[in-house]
Amino acid sequence: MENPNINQGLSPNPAISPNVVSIYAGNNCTGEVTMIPVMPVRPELSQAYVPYQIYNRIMPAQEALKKGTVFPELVK
Amino acid sequence: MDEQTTLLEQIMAYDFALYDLQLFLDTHPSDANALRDYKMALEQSENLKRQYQAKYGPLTPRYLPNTTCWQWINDPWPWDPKGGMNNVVL
Repeated sequence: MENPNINQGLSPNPAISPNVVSIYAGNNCTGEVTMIPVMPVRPELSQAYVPYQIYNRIMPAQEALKKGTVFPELVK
Repeated sequence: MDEQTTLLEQIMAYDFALYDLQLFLDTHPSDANALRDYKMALEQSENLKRQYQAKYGPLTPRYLPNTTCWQWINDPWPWDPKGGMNNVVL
């Protein structure tokens, strides 16, 4: 990687804020790197928001099928 | 659980994981870790389907192991381990 701060596309960047992730602006892993907040810094009234999920680890496939998601953080 | 059912369950599990990862990748297209796991799950799913179909016949009509004979209508059907015609009273 040319820029060590760009950790394979998407990861929390604690140097800036734990609630900001760096992603590529394009959808083919090229283009400019842009910072995206997990939640909007200035939320607007009447708009609904979903926190931007950060990839961590996934569960084994058979466990995921039983729990209804591959993401452990989404098991409620 | 017999081997056929075990294989089917594994195929379902990997196909479910692929769908969940697809939804994530739709909103995170440049996430290399998610893409890596998607590729791994895809390989697992394809291997399991290859294994299953070699032993128990087609999972879909597009599986053509023998081009001289259409095997899709052979019993048992993928969701019917006991065999379709066995349950039909003529």
